[in-house]
Amino acid sequence: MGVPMDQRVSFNEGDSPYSAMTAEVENWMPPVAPLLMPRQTLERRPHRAGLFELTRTFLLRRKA
Amino acid sequence: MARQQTQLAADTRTRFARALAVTVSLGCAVIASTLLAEAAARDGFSGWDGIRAVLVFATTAWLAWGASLALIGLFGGRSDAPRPELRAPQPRTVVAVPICNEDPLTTFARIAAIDRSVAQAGVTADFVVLSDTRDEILAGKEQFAFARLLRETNGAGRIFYRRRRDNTGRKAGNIEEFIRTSGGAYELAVILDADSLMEGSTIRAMIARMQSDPRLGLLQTLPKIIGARSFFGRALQFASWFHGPIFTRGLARMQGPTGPFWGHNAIIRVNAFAESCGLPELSGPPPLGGHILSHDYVEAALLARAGWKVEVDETLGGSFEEGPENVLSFARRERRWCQGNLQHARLIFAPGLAGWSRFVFLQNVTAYVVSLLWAAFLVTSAISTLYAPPPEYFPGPYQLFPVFPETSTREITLLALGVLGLLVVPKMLILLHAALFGRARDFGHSLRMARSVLSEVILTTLLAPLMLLYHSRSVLQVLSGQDGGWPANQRNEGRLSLRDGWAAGSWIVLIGAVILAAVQWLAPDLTVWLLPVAVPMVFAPFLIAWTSRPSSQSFAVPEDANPLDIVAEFDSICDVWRLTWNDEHLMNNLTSTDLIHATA
Repeated sequence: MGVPMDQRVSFNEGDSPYSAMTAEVENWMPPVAPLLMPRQTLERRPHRAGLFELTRTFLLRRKA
Repeated sequence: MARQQTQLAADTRTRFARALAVTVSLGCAVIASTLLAEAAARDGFSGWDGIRAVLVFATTAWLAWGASLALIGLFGGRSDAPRPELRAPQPRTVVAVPICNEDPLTTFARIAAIDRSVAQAGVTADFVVLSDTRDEILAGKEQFAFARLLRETNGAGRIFYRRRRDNTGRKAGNIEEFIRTSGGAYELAVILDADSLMEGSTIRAMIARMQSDPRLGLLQTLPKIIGARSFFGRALQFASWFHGPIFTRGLARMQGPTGPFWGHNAIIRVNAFAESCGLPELSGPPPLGGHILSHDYVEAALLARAGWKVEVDETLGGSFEEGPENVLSFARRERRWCQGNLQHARLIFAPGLAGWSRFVFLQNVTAYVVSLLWAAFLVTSAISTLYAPPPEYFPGPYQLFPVFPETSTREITLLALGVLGLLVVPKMLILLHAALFGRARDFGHSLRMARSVLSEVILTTLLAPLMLLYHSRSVLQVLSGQDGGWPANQRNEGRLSLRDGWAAGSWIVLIGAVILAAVQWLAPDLTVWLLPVAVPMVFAPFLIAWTSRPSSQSFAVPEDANPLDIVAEFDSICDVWRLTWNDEHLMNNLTSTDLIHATA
C-alpha cells in the first residue's frame, strides 16, 4: 500500500521521471503569503554598549 | 503605546481581584513571619532567625497567592464571557500544529479527527503541520502519515505539511517561520500541540469571539488532560478537570485583558501576532541567554504591550491535551519550563511592558525559585537550632526554683497548620463548591469525588518534597550555566520499575537520609517536624515506581462516564490506521536527501 517514499519525496528538479511527484510535493506546502514580523526589543541597551556605540559613531564621522 | 493605555486598562473587578490577592498574600506572609519571629525570640533572636523570617515571608506569600487564585475563582462571580455567533464571511483560519519528533500515527490521526469535527461544526479551516523533526527516519514516517491523512480527508490544497531545514528558535521559531512565509493568507490561527485535541464547535466559538472583538489578539482555552492511564497521570488529569477550571477562572478574573498564553490550544490574530511577537534572541549564552524558551508568556506580554487584548476563557469546553504519566516525565518537563521561566527574570524590566506582564514574569521566576527558598528555610532552621543558646534553668545566683524555658511549640504549630491550610483549604472549598453546585455526578458522585480530592491532596503532599528537590536542582543547574536544552516530549511512557525509580531518585534518598541523620544527631527536637519532608525523600524510588502503575479506576473524571466525541473519533481513526499501518518497508531505500523535500 501507499506510494514508495523515494519517489513521493524526491527533491529532483527539471525533467525527471519524478516530475509528477514533485508537483504533488509542492501541494504539501502552505500558500506563500509573506508577512512582516519585526524583531521586538526586550532588553534595554546597557549604558556601556550605548556609550561605546556613540563614541564609535562620533569618531567615524570625524574621520570622514 | 497610546492604544495600550486606553485598551488594556483593567476593569474594576480585575483591579479589586488583584488588590485582594496581594492583600491576602502579604497578610498571610506577615502573620507567618511574625509567628516565626516570636518563636525565635524565646531563646534570643539571631541573624539566622532573621533569614528564616524573610524566607518564610516569601514562601508563605507564594502559597497564599495560589490560595487566593482559588478563592477568587470560587467567589469572584461566574465568568460572563460573551458567546457571539459566527457571522459570514468567516475569517480565513488555519489550524497550525507544530511537531518535533512525535509519533506520526497518533499525531496525524488527531488532525484527521479535528478536521472531521471542524467540518461538522460548519467551519472552514486549513490545517498545516509544521515539522521540526530532526530524525530523518521519523520525518519519513511523518510524510507517509501525511500522505495518508491527505487521502483520507481529501485534504489536498487545504491541509499542508512543511519541514524546516533547521529548527532555529525551536517551537516559537517554527511558528514564526510559518507566519513570515504564509501568515498573509490567514486572519486567524489556532495553535495546537502534537497531543492537542479540540472540538470543532470550540474552534467555531473561538473564531466567533475573535470576529466579534477586533481588539482581541489572543484567546486561550483551558486544555484538560485526557487519556491518562497511570495513578500519577490520572491524578493530574483529575486536577485539571476538577481544580483547573476554578483556578483558571481566578486567573482570568485577576489577569483581565493581560491574560496568559500557554503555547497551544489557543487562537491568535495573525496580524497582531506578526506585528508584535517577533522574538529576539537574548544577549549572552544559554541557559539564561539565547533563544527564549518559554516563549508563550513573552508573546502574551508583547501582544499586551502592542495594545492587544489577551484573554483566557475556561468556560470554552472541548479543549484537550495529554499529560505526563509519571513523576520522571513530569520532572523532565519541569526542568525545561524552569529554564524558560528563569529567563523571564531578564524580561521583567523590558521596555514598554504592561505592569501586570512584569508581575507575571516575576511569578514565573518565583514558581521555581520558591523551592530553593523552602530548602533554604529547612537548612537555616537546622542551623538556627544548632546555634541556639542552651536553656538556663537558674539565671539568678541564689535562685531556689528552676526557670523552665518558654516553649515555642504553639507558634510553630500555628505556622505549620497555616501553611497546610493554604495548601489544603482551597481544594476543600472547591470540593464543597462542587458538591453544592452539582458537579459531583461528573466525578463519580459525592463520596468518590471526595475520595479523589483527598487522594490527590495526599499524593501531592507526598510528592512535594521530591518536587522541591527536582525544582531546586533545576534552578541550581540553570544558575550554574547548565543548558538543559528543550528536548522533545516523551509521550506514552510506560510503567516505571523500582530499578528505574532508584536510578532517578537515589540522590533524593541520600539527601533525605542525610537530613534525618544530621537533624537527629544535632537537633533531635526538630526531627519530628522534618519527618513529613524527609520520609517521602527516603521512599522516593518507591513513590516514583508506585505512582506510575496503571490505574483505571482511580480519580474519576467526566470523560470516564461519557466518552468525548472528539476522543471517540480519534480512537476510531487510530484503530483503523493501525490495522493497515506499515511504514517500515519505506525505510529500506531512504536517504536523508530524499526526506527534506518540503522544508522551509
